Amino acid sequence: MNMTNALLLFAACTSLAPTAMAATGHAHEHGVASLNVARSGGSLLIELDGPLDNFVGFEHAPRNAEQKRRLADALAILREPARVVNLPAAAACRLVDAAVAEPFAEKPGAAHDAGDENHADLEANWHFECANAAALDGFEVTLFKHFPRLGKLRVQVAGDGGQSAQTLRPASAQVGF
Amino acid sequence: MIRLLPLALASLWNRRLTAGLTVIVVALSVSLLLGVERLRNDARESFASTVSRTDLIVGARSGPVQLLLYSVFHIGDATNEVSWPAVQRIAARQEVAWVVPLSLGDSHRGFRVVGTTPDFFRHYRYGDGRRIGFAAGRPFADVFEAVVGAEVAARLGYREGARITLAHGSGEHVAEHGDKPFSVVGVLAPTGTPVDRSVLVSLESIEAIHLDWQGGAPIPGLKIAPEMVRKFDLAPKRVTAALVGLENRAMVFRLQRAINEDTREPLLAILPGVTLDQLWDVVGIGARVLLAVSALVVAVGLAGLVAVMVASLGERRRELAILRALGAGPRDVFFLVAAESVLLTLAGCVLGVALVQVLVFSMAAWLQANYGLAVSPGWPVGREWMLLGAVMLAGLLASLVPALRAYRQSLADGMMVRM
Amino acid sequence: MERVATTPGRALELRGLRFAWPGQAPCIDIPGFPVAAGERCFLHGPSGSGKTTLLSIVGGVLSPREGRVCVLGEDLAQLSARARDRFRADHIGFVFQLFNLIPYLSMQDNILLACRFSAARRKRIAAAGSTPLAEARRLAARLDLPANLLARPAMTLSVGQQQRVAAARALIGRPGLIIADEPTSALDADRQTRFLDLLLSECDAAGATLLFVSHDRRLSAHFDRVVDLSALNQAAKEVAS
Ligand SMILES: Nc1ncnc2c1ncn2[C@@H]1O[C@H](COP(=O)(O)OP(=O)(O)OP(=O)(O)O)[C@@H](O)[C@H]1O
Ligand SMILES: [Mg+2]
Ligand SMILES: [Zn+2]
Repeated sequence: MNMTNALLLFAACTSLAPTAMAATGHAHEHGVASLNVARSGGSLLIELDGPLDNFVGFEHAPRNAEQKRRLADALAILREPARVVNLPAAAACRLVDAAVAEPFAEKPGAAHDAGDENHADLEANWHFECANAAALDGFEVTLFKHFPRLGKLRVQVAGDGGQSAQTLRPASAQVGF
Repeated sequence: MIRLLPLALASLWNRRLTAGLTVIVVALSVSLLLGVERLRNDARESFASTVSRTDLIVGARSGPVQLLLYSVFHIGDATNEVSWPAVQRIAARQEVAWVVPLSLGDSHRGFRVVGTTPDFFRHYRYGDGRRIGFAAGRPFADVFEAVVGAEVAARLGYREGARITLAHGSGEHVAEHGDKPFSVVGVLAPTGTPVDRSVLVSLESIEAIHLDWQGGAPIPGLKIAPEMVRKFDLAPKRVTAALVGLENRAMVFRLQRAINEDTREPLLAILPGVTLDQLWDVVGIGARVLLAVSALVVAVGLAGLVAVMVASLGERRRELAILRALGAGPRDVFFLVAAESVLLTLAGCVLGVALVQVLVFSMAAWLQANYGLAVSPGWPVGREWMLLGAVMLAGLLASLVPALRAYRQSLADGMMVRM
Repeated sequence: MERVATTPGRALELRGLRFAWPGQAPCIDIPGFPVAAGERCFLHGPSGSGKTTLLSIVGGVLSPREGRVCVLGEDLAQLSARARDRFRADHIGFVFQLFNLIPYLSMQDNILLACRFSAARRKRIAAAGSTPLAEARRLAARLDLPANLLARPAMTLSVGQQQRVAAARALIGRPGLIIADEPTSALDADRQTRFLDLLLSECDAAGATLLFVSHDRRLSAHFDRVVDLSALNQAAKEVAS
């Protein structure tokens, strides 16, 4: 055992808990959501996962018209990729597929996602195909503008150029490859 | 004003002992600061370049950082293993391009033994995607054949044909698998990664040396001669971890989820680059603390410089009064004293940079060998220039203290010093 | 500036000069005191009578509370502090009682120091077809300083040698006014006269006005004019009475 190793082991121990959660994606921390960005050539997959509270301000089935409207608004924003990310125009990206898991929907499969009484998560993913992959050097995440309760995005990036962990905040919302 | 510079130099030379000591103190603190920064950067870079083009690392469920450290950096030990069928299931998935299993646990004279498949040499990448090269020989093809890393070969003097035995475990007191010697069939070219410090053998070899072992010790009374092992089933039962490459990188998170949520066996798949960044977020705190402490040491050095300069002003009152009679204004006196302090700081920085070069140059091989850190001598880069600039700025600010004092003193003294 | 140094007539003109150190009774009160250009003036007075203070005012290091100080035709009150420093560097050479030299500089560098602070002195040397270095060596030779001492650090010189180096430094580049503040009081009687002879002849050669301060009246014989500061200075009388 040497000094560096000791330092790294210390780091490993202290960082075990949070990173274990980050890796398995089950952290539930209000104000924070995780964003997975996978990219291979011109294909770009983006996955969003975070406490529902970040997006609508509550985590239970909507109880009144106002809450129903807020949930519907949030889902509408997420279904419109131009309001979620700002991809470089030169990359000529086209949305191929988008899926937003609807919490509290009356579907048998969705019961699990809706979580327990106190917590619920929101999941969404988007699949883009970009004609000019060379121009895709990064992109801006515009989610913060629409969801002021969202303060931080933990981003995991996997691309042809390598992998990285990045942290986005409203003031610095650029994902780099 | 510039005409005062030779005077400042002459004055410093006159006080060369205290000036020299001050420069040394500043230089030592600067070299500490730069050294920490260089180590911080180079360590990060050498860790980051250890594994590339591997999309996922799969191991038994534990912490992601722990998995990353024991699988590729050979730091710490796995608490659990992955069953061979689980590895095969992953390899069989259509989005998976290749799987390189790793079986750790044995050692050879302090170096780790890595059981793997010949695919390791094909798919393992480091740096910006470089492949492992052979300095001599070929990959292992049979049981009891070993390939050694560059450093193993250099330190132990191994060449093709050398006979080695492996030891069980990697602690202080290891039991030898002495009855089953290996022959070295290949020597790898240096990579600057932990591969250099590894002995690579096939998974079958690992099985073979443990046929007559159980629970970390030889089974009493059971002895299987090396030439007999082929009669046994040498297919691996378990491995420590597996490196996974994908056909399509975009699928990486889906595969990660699929593996992590596999109910047949508790597994953990990590993205090595992401985990390394997360690890670095934590190590980075320590490194930043170290850097902050070094910055404090620089501040102490500069405080010493101020003390020395201020103390010298008492002895120099006559000198400064003579300059006033010769037409120097209080501003000139201010400039002279400030210039001396800045020159001392500058000399300290220059000497500090030189010191770091010498240190890095003389310790690079040792750091590489003992800590696996690739540090490189060379001119300061990027942030190091910024740090030097910050030191100079701090020196400039510090120089104001004696300079202002000299200014006031010479206003009061004029051409006459009453002492 | 060049115009000033060559103006004929008055090298120094004090009128209605009053000065007091902060928190002290007036130290200097001189209704009028002219010194003609080229004159060798011997100023004497008891210790504490304000001789050194007066010289600091003439040198522009101290500013009087009231009155006019004209040096070589320039009214010092009209100049900024910086300009007064420049003026001093260009036009006035000082020799003090002791500790005239920067100890760690060589004799030659001490002499040249006056040129380092004054472009006007360098210009005048160049106009005379010489260089500062040659001029420093010439003056050293004239003041009986052997050439082998030129590179020696000032602190290794004898007191007499040091005073002569100070004189050479004051004279280099032909400033219009040489001010000597008891330059001989650290010397024995023999060396006093030798020093004085050398200083006077060099001032003559340079055409400089000399204001020589001492409380030793025996030296006054060598001068064109002898002035008693206590007679001149009204402040001293007030204190005395
Ligand atoms: N820096 C100073 N601060 C306050 N008072 C001072 C200062 N320098 C001189 N004085 C006062 O001014 C008066 C005149 O002093 P000055 O040095 O001019 O006398 P001096 O005639 O040169 O005496 P000496 O012949 O001893 O050199 C003295 O009373 C002295 O105390
Ligand atoms: Mg005096
Ligand atoms: Zn073993």
